[in-house]
Amino acid sequence: MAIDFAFQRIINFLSTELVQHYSKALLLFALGIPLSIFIANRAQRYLGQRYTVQHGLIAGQLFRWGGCILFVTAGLNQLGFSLTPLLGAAGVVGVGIGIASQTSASNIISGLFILIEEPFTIGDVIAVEQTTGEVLSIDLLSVKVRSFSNEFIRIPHETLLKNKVTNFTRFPIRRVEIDIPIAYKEDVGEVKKLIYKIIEEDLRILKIPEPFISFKGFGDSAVDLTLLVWVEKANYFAVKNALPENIKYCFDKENIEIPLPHIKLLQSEQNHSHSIVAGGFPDIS
Amino acid sequence: MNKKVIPVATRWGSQPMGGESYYLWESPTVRVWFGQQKKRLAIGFEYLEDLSEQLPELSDNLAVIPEDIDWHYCILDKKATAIAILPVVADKPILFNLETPVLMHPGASISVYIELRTWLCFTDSSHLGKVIYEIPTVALQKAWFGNSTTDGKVCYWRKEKAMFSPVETSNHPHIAVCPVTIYNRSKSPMNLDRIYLPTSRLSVFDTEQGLVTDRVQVSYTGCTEVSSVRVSGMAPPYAKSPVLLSRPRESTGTVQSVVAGAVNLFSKFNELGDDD
Repeated sequence: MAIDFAFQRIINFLSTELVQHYSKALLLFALGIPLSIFIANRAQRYLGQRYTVQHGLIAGQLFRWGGCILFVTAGLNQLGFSLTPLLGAAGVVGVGIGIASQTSASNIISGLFILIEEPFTIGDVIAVEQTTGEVLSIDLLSVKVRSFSNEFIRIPHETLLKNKVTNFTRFPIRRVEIDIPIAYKEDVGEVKKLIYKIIEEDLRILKIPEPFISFKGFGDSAVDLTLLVWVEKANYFAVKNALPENIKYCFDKENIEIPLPHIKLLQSEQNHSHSIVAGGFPDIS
Repeated sequence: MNKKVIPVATRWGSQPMGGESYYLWESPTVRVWFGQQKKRLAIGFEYLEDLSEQLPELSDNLAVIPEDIDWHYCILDKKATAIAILPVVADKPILFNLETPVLMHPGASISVYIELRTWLCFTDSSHLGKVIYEIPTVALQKAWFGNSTTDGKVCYWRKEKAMFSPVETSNHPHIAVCPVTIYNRSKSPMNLDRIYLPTSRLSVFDTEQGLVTDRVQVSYTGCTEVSSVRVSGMAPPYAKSPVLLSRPRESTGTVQSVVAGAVNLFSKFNELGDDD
């Protein structure tokens, strides 16, 4: 009899509206939030593979936060919280926060423009002002960059929007430019042939677009040439470092002079001329 | 390194492993040594100047493996008693110049023969098709194929030209001949001077004439359209007693029609007319 009575009390309690609301709220919190996170992760992975990692991240954030806000709001509503005053308060607070956090708001809006314009994506190597590094993430307020000396750098979106951004890895290939000064006594044609031979042997240099040696001008001490070769972006720094070294080695082997700046001083009174070679002793004749 | 070096028993196929000996696989452009070393498979190779028309005789000095070659090591399955060496096509498309540029009028077609330097693919005999290591039989240069330096793809580039008649490759057992037929199905003449060959769908066959690949048909429909490429999925009709040695890297059936930028056409003649 007592058990029946207790059971009846429990049934009555559970059938009350309050308990039903609490149960619904609990369900919304317990299932809704993990569901949002699950969907967000799936969307992030799918869009990341289908499009870019950046697209995946944006979609993931939208689903994650959008879903959580939706379910938490619905849960609170079930618990009897009226959202109208909350929204009103949020408006007042929002104005206050807006005034106090203009910079943050500016960064968020700048971030939106950057996302739309997409001047770079995660993994690109960019230069902004004095900073160069690989983009690690594009977040709400800033872009996180890892410099080549492994420093973590946070660049606010506003800075990116206001300044010149150079993306070094946007395109699959890049051009390496190397200035090559050669002495006036050297045969330019023969030197060019030697340079082309050096290029031919380097498998990292692309055959098309064809390598090109441009005549830059008659310098103070040298005939200035510029070598232009195209490489895959992954090989850019390797070729930029190795090629001048290889050219210098071959020039030394073939006795081709890379001249130092020369200054010739003439002393007419003593009928002597002094020629001074920068970095060395003056050659007094 | 002083090791006993034995030439491989068969150029393509299975090579029993075990013992202290090293094996030598050679062609006029590359020498490959491989053997077991402390339960590891060691593979080393060096490229040669491709000057000889004949295969070099195996001389005594080949018993000494050069010191300065790079070795690559891998651990094989315990059950592996042999490894197979097979010719495969390159892992990227290849750009070839034509023997001489030709002007193709609308409706015209032309057949050319391309020498493909195959790669050596080492596979574990206990896991058929499981690739251990791949070695190009020639040092490959790369090039950019595209309308601009921002839009295109990196591919391999070879100095050999696509020829108008079948090429003799008996002295170069690593070369597979790829017959390509190009059709101009546009309404304007086109100047054909180089071919961008997507190799990933090509099989390699051993025939009495040497190695060959599938027959490739390229249809050009206009300078603003991408050319369609059809791979036959079988050895060309002129090849006698074909035996399939390796399947395509990307297998999608016997007859494929893929849309790809297949023929690089300089558009100076296309400016003459509209090629819808």
